Amino acid sequence: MKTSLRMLGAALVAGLTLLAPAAAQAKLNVVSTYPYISSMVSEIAGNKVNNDTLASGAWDPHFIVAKPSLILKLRRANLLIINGAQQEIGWMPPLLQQSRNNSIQSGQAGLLDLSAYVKKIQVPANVSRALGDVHPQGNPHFALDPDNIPRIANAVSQRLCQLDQGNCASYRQNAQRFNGRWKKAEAGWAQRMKPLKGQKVVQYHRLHDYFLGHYGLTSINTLEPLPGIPPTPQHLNNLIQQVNNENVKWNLRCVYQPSGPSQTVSSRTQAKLLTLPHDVNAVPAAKDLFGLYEAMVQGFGV
Amino acid sequence: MAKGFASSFSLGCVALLCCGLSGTPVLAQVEAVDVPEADTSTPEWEPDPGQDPFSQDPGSTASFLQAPFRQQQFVPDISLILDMGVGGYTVDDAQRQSFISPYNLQQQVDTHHMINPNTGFNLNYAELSLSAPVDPYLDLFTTFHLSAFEFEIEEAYGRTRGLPFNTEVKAGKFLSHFGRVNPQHAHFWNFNDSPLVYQHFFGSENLNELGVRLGWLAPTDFYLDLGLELLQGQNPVSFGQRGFISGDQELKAVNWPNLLVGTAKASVDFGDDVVLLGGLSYARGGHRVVNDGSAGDDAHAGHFHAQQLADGSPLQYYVGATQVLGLDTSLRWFINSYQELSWQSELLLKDSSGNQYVEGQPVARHFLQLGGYSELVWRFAQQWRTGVRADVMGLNQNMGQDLNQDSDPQATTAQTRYTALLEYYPSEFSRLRLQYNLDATGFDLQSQAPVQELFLNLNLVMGAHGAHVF
Repeated sequence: MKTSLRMLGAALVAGLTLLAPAAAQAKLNVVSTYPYISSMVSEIAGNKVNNDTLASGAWDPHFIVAKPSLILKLRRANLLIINGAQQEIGWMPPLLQQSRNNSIQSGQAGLLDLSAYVKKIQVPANVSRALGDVHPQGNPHFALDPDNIPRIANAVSQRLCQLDQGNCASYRQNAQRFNGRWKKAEAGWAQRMKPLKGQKVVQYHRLHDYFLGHYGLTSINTLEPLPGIPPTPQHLNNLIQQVNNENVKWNLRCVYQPSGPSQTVSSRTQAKLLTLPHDVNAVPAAKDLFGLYEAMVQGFGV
Repeated sequence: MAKGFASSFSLGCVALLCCGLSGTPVLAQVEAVDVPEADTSTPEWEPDPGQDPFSQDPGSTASFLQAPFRQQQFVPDISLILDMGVGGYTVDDAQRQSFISPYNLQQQVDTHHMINPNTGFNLNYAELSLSAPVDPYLDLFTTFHLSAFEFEIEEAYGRTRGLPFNTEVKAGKFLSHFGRVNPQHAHFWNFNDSPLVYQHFFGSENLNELGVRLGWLAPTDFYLDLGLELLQGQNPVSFGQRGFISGDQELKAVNWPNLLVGTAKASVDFGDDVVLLGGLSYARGGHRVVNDGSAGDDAHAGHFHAQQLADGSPLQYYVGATQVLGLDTSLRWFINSYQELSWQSELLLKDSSGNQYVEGQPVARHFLQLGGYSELVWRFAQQWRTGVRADVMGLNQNMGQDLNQDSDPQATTAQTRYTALLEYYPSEFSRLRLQYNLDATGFDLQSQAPVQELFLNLNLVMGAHGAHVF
């Protein structure tokens, strides 16, 4: 019965609605690409779903290894939540294809692309790889804008409701509660970040632009000459001059990025080197979304 | 090279073309697509009140008016990979390209897709790939192998999406999933040339056949993928279908699918960073092989009339059954995001038995051959990789009644080839590879000295090339 429904689902959009009650009988298997997403799922669904993650938070989110074991997680998934905006383009497509799971393919209710629910910055008017490894749909690290977190919470709870109507009230309530707590916490972070407004920053890669933009810091350059291209000596020399000339206060890197170039910059300038988490579990303190933001704010010494 | 852009090319292309035609500023177009209202409840498109109520296509009002049958948005993912190299060798090109292999009933090794065949500059290939979903049920993948004067279909197959019971069907012309290296395209190999054992058993294009594959992802707690392939069996080195006339003997061509391949691949993780992948493959099919070194032009599938070899000796035809058993293991340790140590090995055992026909006289023959390789590759920085490989052909036993007592004395001796490489990746989309081969397979027949080969290859990717499987 379930099989025939699945086939019908492939043929008809209407089939999707038929499939939902069948899937609701057991706990939903929710698989997220990154730890920040599964952290959100656990805030909203608690133990009402099986919650699994594909990527490790301490790795470069662009280059996750497409291990065969990840195919197993996808095979069993009822809902796959991705960051989107092509952050997973280098590793996700072959996994999805090999999963043999039609309910999480693009266009199905079992695939939730969070990038569709948030406002993205740095959307290029035109793309060319002469400009490095650019993201045609804009900067994909939008989860580091605190304003996007409630949007993500709503998107996740709505999709969970769609697939698991029985627990919908609980998902809604948890999302509302989470958003309330988030609002409160965010007010605190905003207060603490206030003195930093207007300060200048350089980063290894454009990873924290959403966070910096939200709190009024300006990212003037990156250690990478172009996205995805490792730092070159000449570029670093120019950058060091710029950092000194423009009185840049902070030099950001993420845990997975090589530390050498960042240390070079900080040793020859006044810019303080900060290793910031970019995802939940990137550092031990970033246990969940609150911990992630708290660790970033604390990184700035406030 | 692991990363690719599945749809960036078409997106960019569409945005440009679209705007070029409609006159809308590019930025506005992209933003209109990418920035929906925050907190929207459904990702579905909702008609804009100002838009043409009859149009079913979001944002299509302008194109509806100007180019009603435009299909640009259906452009498939397109990519082109170019490989070129410069090489130097201790033997001359003619000798290097016409070596005799005692492991190959064809005698002459197929050099059709040989990488860097010539001293000096080589344009090895351009690989053009197009892929897109066909409909809700099937994806279509095509890869065209282009060389200076040839356009070949390397792969062209449809693949199902969403069949029940974790199954998948692939049909068309494709690289068999036999072993570890065989299903990979040349640009994704760790070294420039495929392992010696593949060259000897399957030729320079590996096991690339017409047919159908059924795959099943077993519902186990570890990764287990089982596959069964029914293939035409045209591989000229180990299988082949053509008919021939030898003396007063006539054998008709085989016209039905003649090769069966079974594969099992399993994988387990050790912690987060170490992955073990193992595979067992088995191929069994009829063989029709002739020792003229030709690529076995099965497309014509007719008789092949008896001829003599250049030295005046009569052609030898082999008719029978061949089995190949393959065992592969890959152990990969992902040290961090940009460093990896991987150890990959394969062992292939081939058993061919049947008759050899020389001027119509059948003689029972039975060959047992064994070969393999082991390679260690270390990506020690984001842009750098180095590796070594040892190829060994270890066994070549002629177990049948010997027709020619003066058969090649090298036939039972082991052959080795050692390879080292250093790679630099200016970006994810370009690669410079310096490779050295010490080839002791005995091809330098005059001196019997190992052949040394040194080449530098440049590999470039443009467009939307999909990411690779593990």
